[in-house]
Amino acid sequence: MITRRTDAWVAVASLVLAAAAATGGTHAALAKTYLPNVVVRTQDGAWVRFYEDLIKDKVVLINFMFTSCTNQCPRTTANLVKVAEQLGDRLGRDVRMISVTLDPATDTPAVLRNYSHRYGTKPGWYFVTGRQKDIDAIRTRLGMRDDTTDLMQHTGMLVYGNDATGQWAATPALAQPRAIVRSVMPLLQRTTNE
Amino acid sequence: MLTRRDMLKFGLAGTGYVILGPNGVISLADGGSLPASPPTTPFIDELPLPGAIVDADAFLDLPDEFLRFWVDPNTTRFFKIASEERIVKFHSQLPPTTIWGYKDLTPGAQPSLGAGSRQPLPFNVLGPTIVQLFGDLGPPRDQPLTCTSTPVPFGGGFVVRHINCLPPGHKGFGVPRTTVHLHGGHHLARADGFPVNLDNPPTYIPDGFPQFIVMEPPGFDAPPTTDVCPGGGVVTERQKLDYYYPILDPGELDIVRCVTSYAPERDRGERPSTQWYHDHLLDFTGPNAYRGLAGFVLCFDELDSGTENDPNPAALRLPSAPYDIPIALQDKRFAADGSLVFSSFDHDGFLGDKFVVNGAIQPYLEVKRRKYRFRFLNASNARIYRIFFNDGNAGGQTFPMDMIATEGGLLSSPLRGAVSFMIAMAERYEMVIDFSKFSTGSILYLENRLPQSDGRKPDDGLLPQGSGNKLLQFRVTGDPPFPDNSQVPDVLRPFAPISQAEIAGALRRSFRFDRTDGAWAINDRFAGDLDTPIATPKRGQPEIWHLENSSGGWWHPIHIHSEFFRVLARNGRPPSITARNPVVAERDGLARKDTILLKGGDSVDVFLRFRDHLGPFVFHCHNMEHEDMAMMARFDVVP
Repeated sequence: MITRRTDAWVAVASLVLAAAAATGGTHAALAKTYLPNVVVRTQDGAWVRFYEDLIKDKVVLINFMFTSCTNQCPRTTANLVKVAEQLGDRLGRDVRMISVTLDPATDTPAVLRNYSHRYGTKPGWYFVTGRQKDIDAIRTRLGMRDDTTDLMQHTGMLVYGNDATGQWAATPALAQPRAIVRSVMPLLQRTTNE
Repeated sequence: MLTRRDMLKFGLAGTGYVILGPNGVISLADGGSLPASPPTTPFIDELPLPGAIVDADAFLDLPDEFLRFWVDPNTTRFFKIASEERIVKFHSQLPPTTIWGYKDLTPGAQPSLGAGSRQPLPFNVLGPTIVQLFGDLGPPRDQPLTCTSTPVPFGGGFVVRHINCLPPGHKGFGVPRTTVHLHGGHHLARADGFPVNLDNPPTYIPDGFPQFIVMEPPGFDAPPTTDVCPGGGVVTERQKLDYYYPILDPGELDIVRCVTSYAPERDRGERPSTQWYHDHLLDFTGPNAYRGLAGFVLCFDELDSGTENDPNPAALRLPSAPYDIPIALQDKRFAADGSLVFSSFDHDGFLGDKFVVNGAIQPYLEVKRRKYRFRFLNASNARIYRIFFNDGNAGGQTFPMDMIATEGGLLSSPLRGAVSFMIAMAERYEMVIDFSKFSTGSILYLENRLPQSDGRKPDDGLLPQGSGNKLLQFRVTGDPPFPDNSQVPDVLRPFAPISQAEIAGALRRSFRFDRTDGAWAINDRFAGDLDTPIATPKRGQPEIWHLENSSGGWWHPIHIHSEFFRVLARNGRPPSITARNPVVAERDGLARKDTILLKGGDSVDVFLRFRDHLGPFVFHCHNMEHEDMAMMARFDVVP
């Protein structure tokens, strides 16, 4: 589905931050060694590098979902919509939300785009799909390593952190939106103060 | 490969970040294992003993409520403790390590000394030990209590001004914001270290609840105070919090405050115990405590007076200082440069591969041929230990110990001949070991024989003797300079089990600790909502809480704040009392607990009665990574 075509990186460029572009190869090589810098696609069809283009130097909230999940995922997404509302214009500017599908075969960029439209998500919230093997790498590196084929087992937690400072934590994705925002804000303020 | 120069270039050196942040090299979450810590030769460093805290001059720039209700400058003691970044050693062969630690700010404070030699050591990890004689200087305990409608300051107790001097620009695991929980006491809600600032704190608390509980790092935009951080820098109002600990018998306050909703009684047996203080910040307690934010509080009274030569006939004369030694067990992991290694993405619970006792890796202690009292605290994030006292040899001898206390202080009577004991995170067990039976020159060990390769729970079975983790080496160096007058009496601090009438009248609540779709839940409700209480127990109301771990794959040590509890049943039956393998000391009438281990599928029934202190508290799993993933709920004690 995703190939390393040269023109894919043109799409990437639109999302690459100045800071990311300015770093040397060593840092990028390093980054790949922990949070996978695998190439994934967003709901807009853009090819992006998971770490370098979406996470690097940012405060991020990351959760896992799939569009055919009818029980918990809709509640979670609806909850995160409230989080996004409370983040206001910080979303996209200082904070990014990343929802990674656990079912990439079904959840193509078009499917994810429909899904995000249904929830009226704002810019700064990325729905991400990719090769199964890359999604699995992202999931396990973020600590969702329950040994099960039940996709639901990976949908409950929201990992949040500040890549610039290296501070990461996790909280239930269905926690009170206010509580989630209150947890994230101190990490954010430290970024903006610096 | 990453060079030292690269590390400096990216500001990563010495933070532990290299291995563990998203820019890290490898992680446990990858399904592999973290690189092993550098090798260290065991038992070449002496066991450190954190210094006892030193009284500061009285300071009265305190919240009005403190002066109205509590503090009498003539009888209340004052301490100042900073949370700071400092460089320490964990082992003489390891490079220095940057940690976060508590520091006694009062001039004359002693850092860690050798537990045997009393010589200064570089293993200066734990915070100062707060030693408090119960009722010391405060209201005399032998006078009857009377109801008084006009509040007058109680006096006694102690004020700790905690000051956050952690680096605001910190990079790596841990967050330089902090609250402090004194674990094991019966304290004001406002001094309990609530994990987060509350938008709408309850208004019925007589002495209030601070608007800001969380101490911010230096540089926060707030008015300056007269305090100064250890490295310089004026402390702001939002950087500090004054904690008042009254050190009263449970029930005492309710009597004096004329509480009539129940018949308060003074419970004299509850307070003297081994307690500890540690960071309690929401979502980040694990990394913050792992960085070093922990210290002991030892509380004594007339019975457990801390003097083995006490002429008072009521005194128990248990082994006392310098033969009364707190033992904090931790497991940590180190990079080659000495920096601490941690994984923020190991949601099951972080395990180290180095065994640290009071801040030193596998130390030794020179002992005399006499009795010692050891106060064990499991201050690890996720490791459970089962400890044996033996000669360290495969197929060698194991020797018995006398268990005398657990979290809630002394047992009714000692459990003699304990072959081993299991200690989960935040639990405390006190053991008396008699070295008089060993000849000079003997070498003995405390060995953890419980294998654990995953933060979820220990592995099955036990390691053979000699193949476990030797934590501490004892070297018997000869006879004591003075005769050993200490004893372990057959009766320690007896107390009756809760009566059947009270059990029958108790309000019952049930809390099921569960895992739902990879997130922790309590009673199917996603944990972590600290804005609203999951329960509102009425002050004085007898309650029985049924705590259940319905997930078989994980073990959870559950800690309830504010009151010790009595364990009525485990898995529907009264807990056994046995000195066999391992000692179980949890049954009501024998022991009081504040943390209880729920193995997979376990349930326990505990009796509680919340007295004296109204307001918001929490209960939670003390696997710190589970706690940080919101396996926690708020309860409010209401009038």
